[in-house]
Amino acid sequence: MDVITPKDRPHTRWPRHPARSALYVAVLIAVIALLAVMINVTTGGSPSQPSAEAAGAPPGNRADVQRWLKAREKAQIELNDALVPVVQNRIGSAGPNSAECRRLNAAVLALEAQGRAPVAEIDELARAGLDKIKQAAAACLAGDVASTQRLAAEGLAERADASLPLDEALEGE
Amino acid sequence: MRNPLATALAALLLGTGWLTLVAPISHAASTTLAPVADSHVQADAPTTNFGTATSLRIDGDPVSKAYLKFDVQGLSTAPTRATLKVVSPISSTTPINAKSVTDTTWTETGVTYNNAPAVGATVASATPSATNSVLSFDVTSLVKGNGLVSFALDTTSSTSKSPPSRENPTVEYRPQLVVETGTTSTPTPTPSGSTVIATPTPSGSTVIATPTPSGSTVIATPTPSGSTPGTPSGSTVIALAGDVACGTTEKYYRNGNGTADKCRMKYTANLINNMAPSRLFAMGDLQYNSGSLADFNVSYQNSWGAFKSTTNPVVGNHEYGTSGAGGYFSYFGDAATPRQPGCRKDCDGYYSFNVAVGTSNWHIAVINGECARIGGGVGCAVGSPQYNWLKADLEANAATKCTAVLTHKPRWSSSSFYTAEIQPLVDLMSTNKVDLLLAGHAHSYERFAPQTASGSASSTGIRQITVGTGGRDSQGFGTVLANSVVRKNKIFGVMKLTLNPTSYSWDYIADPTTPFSDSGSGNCI
Repeated sequence: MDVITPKDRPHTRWPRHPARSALYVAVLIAVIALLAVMINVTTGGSPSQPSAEAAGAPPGNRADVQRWLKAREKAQIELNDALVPVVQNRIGSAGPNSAECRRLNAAVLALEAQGRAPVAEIDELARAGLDKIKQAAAACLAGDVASTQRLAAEGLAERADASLPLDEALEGE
Repeated sequence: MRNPLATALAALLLGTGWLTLVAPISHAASTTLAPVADSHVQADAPTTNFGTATSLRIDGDPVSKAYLKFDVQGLSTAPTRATLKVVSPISSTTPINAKSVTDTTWTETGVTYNNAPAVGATVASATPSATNSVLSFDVTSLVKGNGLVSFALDTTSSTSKSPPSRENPTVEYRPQLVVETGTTSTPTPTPSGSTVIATPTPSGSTVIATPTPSGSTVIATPTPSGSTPGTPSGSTVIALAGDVACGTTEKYYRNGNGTADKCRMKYTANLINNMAPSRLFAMGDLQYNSGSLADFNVSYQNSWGAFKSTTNPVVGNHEYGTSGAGGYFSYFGDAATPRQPGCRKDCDGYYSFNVAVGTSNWHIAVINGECARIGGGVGCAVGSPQYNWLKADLEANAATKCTAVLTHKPRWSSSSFYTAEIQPLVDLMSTNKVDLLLAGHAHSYERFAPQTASGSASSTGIRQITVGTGGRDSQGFGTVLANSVVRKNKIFGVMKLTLNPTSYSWDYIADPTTPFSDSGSGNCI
C-alpha cells in the first residue's frame, strides 16, 4: 500500500476515504451550527418561537426575554441620557463635530446593535420610535437642529405610546 | 453532620484551657433549659430533614431557617425575662432574627422546608459581632408560662451561619433558653445582642461575658402592631402594596368580590384595616386595567378607598391607560401631585414628604418610573427635571437619618417586570444613602439584600422590596437575580413596614388564603 505523503496529497480534493469524508462533513456541519448559535446569541438573531421550556409562560417570565432586556439596559440608559440635550433644546451648534450629536448617534447605533428580542411582539414594541430617533441623530449630524428636535419628539412619542402595550405584552395580556 | 468550625473552635478553646465552663449568667431566679427539639429547613432542599445535624443552618440564600422548641415547666408565675441564646461560630454585619412560631407540633425529625410551620414577627435581633459570639434574644413576650414554646431564627445575610444544635458534642455550645422569675433581685436589663466567648479568667475558666455596649447590638424592638396600643413609642407603622383593584367590567371583578386568585382587593383592604397603619403607601397600578376615574370611584373606592385620606399614592403604568393618567390624578387630587396643586392630567407624579417617627422624621421620595411619560419622554435620564428634582430633594434632606424611595416599577426583579430606565435615579439614591427602595409592578413578593446601584451586594446599600400583591393577580419569576433573598408568588397581602428613628422592620401580612411570611429588620445607613 502506497503511503501518501503531504507532498503527494491532492490539494483541491476532499479526502478520498468515504468514512473520513463523512466525518469531515459532519464536523463542518457541527462547526457551522455552533457558529450560527454563537452569532444568534451575540446579536439576538431573528425573533424565534418560544422554546418548549418557555411555552405557556408569559414573555415576562421567560429567561430569554429577561436576558435580552438585561443585555440592552446600558444602551437604553445611554440613549435616554443622550436625548436630554435634544429634548431640552441644548444641542448648541449641530453638525458632525457636535459632541451631543455624535453621542446621540452612537447611542442609537449601540441600541440597534443589541439585536432582536426573542419574541417578535416584544421586539417591535421595544423598538418603537427608534427609527425616528435614528433619523433625528442623522439630522443632528447634518446640522439640522429643527429636524432633529421634531424627529426626536416624534420618536419619543411613539415610544411612550408603546410603553403600556409593551408592559402588557410582557404580562402576556 | 458536624460543624467543623464550631468543633474546631471548641477543641481549641478546651485544649488551651480557655474554656472549661460556658454557662449563662447566673441569676438566683433563673432556669436554663435545653431544647427538646431543634432543626433547620433549607429552601434548596425542601423535603430534607436536618433534625439530627449537630448545627443549625441560618442563611438568606438559599433561605435556611432554624427552628427550636423548648418545654417550659415549673413556673408558678409568668417569667420576668426569657432569653434565647445560641452561639454563632462566625461574625457578620447582618443580624440574625428571632421570630415567633406559634405552631409547636413540628417534630425534630419531621420538619422540612415544605412542611415547616409559619414564622411570625421578629421579636428580637442580634448581630454576631465576632466569631464565636453568644447571641442573646429577648423572647420574653413569647414565653407566657409553662408549656411548649417554639422559635425560629433567620437572616437576610447570604453568608451561612451554623450555630451548634442540641446534638452538638460540645454541650456548652448548645442553644439555651434562660427563664428568669421571681423578685429576689432586679435583673439587669439584657438587651438582645451578642457577646463574645473566650475572655480567660485568672482561674482558667471562661464565662459568657455580660453584654457590653460594644458587643451588643439591638436591631429592632418588637413592634406588634401599628398605631394600636402596644406599639413602642417612636415607631410608625406603614402599610404598603401595589397592583390592586380590578376594573368593574373585568371578568373576575364579580361585584368586587373577585375569585380565589384574582381581584382580591377587598381582602387585602381587610388586612390593612386590621393593621391600622398610620399611612398607606399605594405602590401603583392601583386601578386596572386602564386607571379610569369611573373604575377608581367604584372598585378602588370600595376597597382601598377606605384609607384614601392617609394614602401616599404612586403612579403606575396602568394608570396611563387613561390619557395622562387623568383618572389617577383626578381621584387622588393633590395628594398625588403636591408639587403641582390643581394638576389633574399629565402631572409630574413625583414628590416627597416626611413621616414623623417619634421626635425625628423619615424622608420619603416618590418617583414616577414611567419615564417615557414625563420629561419629554426621557423623564428619568440624567439632567431630566425628575433627576434634578430628586438630586436636590435628597441632598436637601441629607441630615435625615432614614430615607425611602417609592416607585411603581422596581429597578431589579427576577423577571422582566422591572425598568432599567430609572437607573440614573437609583444612582442618586445610592449616592445619597437611601435605605429602602419600595416597589410594586411585579405581581409577586421579592426582597433583595442591600446592594449598590449596580446590583452588587453591600451592607451599606439599598434594600429593595417589591410588594406587587395588592389584589390584582399573580405573576411568576424568570431567572433569579443575585442578591434576591426571598421570592414568593401566588400570594396576596400587604407589607407592614415599621419605621423607627434609626432603623426599620418589615413583616409581610398575607391573606389567610395564601399563607406566607417574611419579616426582618435593618438599620438606616
